[in-house]
Amino acid sequence: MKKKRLFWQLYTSNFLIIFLALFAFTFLISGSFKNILFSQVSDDLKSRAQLLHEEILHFVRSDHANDLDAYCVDLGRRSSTRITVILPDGTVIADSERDPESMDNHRRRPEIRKAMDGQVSTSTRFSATLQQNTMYAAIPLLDRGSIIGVLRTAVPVREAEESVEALQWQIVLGGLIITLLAGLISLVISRRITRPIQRLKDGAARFAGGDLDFRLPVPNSEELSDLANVMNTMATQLQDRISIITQQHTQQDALLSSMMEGVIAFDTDERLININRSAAQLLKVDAEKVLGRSIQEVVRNVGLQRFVEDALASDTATEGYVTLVNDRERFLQVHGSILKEMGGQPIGLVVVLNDVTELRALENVRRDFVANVSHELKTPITSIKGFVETLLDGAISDREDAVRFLGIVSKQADRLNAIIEDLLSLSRIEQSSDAEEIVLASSSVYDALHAAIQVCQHDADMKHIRIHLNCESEITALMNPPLLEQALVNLISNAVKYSEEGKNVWVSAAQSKQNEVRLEIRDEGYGIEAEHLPRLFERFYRIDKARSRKLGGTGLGLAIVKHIAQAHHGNVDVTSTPGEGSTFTVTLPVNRGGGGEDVA
Amino acid sequence: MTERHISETQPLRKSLLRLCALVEENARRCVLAIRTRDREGAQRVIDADHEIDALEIAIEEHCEEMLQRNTLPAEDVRLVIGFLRINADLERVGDLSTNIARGVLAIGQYEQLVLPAEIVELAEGTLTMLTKSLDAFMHMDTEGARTVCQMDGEVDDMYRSMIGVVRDRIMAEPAMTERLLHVLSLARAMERIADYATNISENVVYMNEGRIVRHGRMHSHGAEATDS
Repeated sequence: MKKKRLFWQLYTSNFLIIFLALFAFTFLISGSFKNILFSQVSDDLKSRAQLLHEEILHFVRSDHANDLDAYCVDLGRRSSTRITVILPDGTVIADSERDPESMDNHRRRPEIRKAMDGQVSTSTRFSATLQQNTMYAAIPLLDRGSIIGVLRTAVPVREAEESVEALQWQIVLGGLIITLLAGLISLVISRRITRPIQRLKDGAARFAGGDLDFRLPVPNSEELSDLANVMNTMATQLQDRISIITQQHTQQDALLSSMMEGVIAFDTDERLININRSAAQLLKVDAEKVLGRSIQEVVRNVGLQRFVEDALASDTATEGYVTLVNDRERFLQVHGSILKEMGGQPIGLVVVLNDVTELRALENVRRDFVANVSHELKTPITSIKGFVETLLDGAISDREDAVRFLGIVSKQADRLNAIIEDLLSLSRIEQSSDAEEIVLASSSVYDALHAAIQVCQHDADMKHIRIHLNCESEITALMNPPLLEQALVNLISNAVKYSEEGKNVWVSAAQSKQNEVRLEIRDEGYGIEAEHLPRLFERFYRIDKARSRKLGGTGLGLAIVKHIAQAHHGNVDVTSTPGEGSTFTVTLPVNRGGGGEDVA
Repeated sequence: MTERHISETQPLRKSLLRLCALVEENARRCVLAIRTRDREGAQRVIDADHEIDALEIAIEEHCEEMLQRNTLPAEDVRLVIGFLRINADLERVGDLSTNIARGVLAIGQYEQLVLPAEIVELAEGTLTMLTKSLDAFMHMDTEGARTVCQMDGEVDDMYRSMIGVVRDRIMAEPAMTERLLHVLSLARAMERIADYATNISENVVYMNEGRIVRHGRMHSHGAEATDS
């Protein structure tokens, strides 16, 4: 059903009320006016009849009928009143307008009958004689108590009727004008009532549309202004609350997205309801697109799918590990906690993902180190023990064997010594670099390189390997010369060790950046395959264990180089092509502060 | 109608998505194992295969059970058929991954053997195709599925050039023949995986096209009725 507008409801009802009031008014006023007018006329007629009473009585008593008629005609003409005299039997004996002979018996006329009963009465009806509505008044003619006739006076009521009619017309006309005016006024009033309501409605619509900065204009009328004020207050409060909620939401989002850990929330149907940035990055998904989808449709990882299923099924917090396989393996520690309503009913699950790949790698390095160090120490000891036991068992008596065995024991003891020396120097470097005890001074790079080459020169000559040095003598770097020399010796002797006879080793240094010197040791050796490069500087990491040991390596040389470089606030790096050779690069800062770190 | 229809095949879909995850993880581990010659990783691929096989059988039984129900709507029949085909393809990819892992173990014995860079390239290309085809299935993305089908040619080219590389190396070092043949079989398995990825994508298109028909025209409805 179509709703009527308030304006039309107000206007039409106003209009109807005015119209009905005017109608009733017209009806009542014209009725009473007519009554007043008619009673005046009848009083007038009665008094005229009373005035004529004596005269006419005289005529009737003296029985001068002809004179009476003439008198009546004369009198009637002068007073413009019809005067009729009637005998008790109804016979008209005189009439001012017509010949009494031609008139019929008047005994049955209502006013005559009443007059016969001794009353004075009036009556209004259509007169056949006068051919119009006429009012009659009749009085009895009393002669010593007995009625000897009736005197009747009459006037036409046309005039009175006309003036009543004219009045009615005037009232109707006036009424119409008033109705029109009142209609106009009620139109204006209706407008004035509905317009502020309309404005309130428009304002409320803007509120509903989210425009809470808008304020309603306050109308004049008390009720509406109260309403407008209440609505404005409501808008303010709504705005406050929404801003609080938005703020909380933003804070929550900021909190979630700034978290290093990945956070994912699921509903009870395993569908994602929230995911933070870290989680999206970790799982390589688009955070916007995956909301509302189930875990199976988002992450193709069985471990995580299973974890979510199990966590949802269990009532307590769950914990587990998940492996992601992308370009490399990532290990995630995952925690799941059930989300519960106030009533304790589970409504979902929050999963926190913690990337523990690095941690695992560190753990692996440590575990490997312990295993390696034990192994490395055990090998020479086993050998020493074996030969010593053989000697004790009698081999000592065979001088030739004994000398050979003791030679081996001595070699293994040297090896053991070398390993322990390396371990000690490694831990020394580590400790003093942690305690920042290593004294760094600006020294000549050329001198350090030259000294290191001299140490390795003997081994190189044995293999007919030429070491080329290319370094300008004025280059300096911040260094601890004995330590740096040790690192360079390790690198150069490696280059010599892992090259075939007759090859070349290039040692060079150059200032590469404002505050950086690059030392390069390049060989033409066997080279290292790419898969080994990331772990090359780990302790005891060996590409080919047998080869390394045969060449007398301890497995710690490069680890020492790395630690020395770090103690110098520098770095060491390697590039290599299998079969073509390797290049080790040590970068050192030229002076203090420039390297980005403070040097004590 | 559509809501009810989705929910009825939903559990099946979930199982299949889980199979996708298993298969993809295994394939990724394979590629990783090839790149880093990680024997431990290769062994894990082999160990995980029985799980793929078990899930494949469970899914097949589920499909069969659904198809035996006469009340299954025609559009669901089409979906279940698609699921069945993808299920079988995934299982084959799983088997091929196992083959590759065995190959990696075999090659691992020869430490000096330098793998040609092309095999890693081929493996990466195949893996991309597999991932994209599984993505297309996950999101029922016809466009994505079509791209996968177009990628198959590239992988075939890589495979062919791979054969050339291996042949040249065998000529150069006849002593390495046996080892290089292992490399060749790795490449072959990779190329087959790419073929199955294409199959999966084609099935995604088939299932989606079924949906389009369902929304559409009268004669297609008739055709569908006779299909089922």
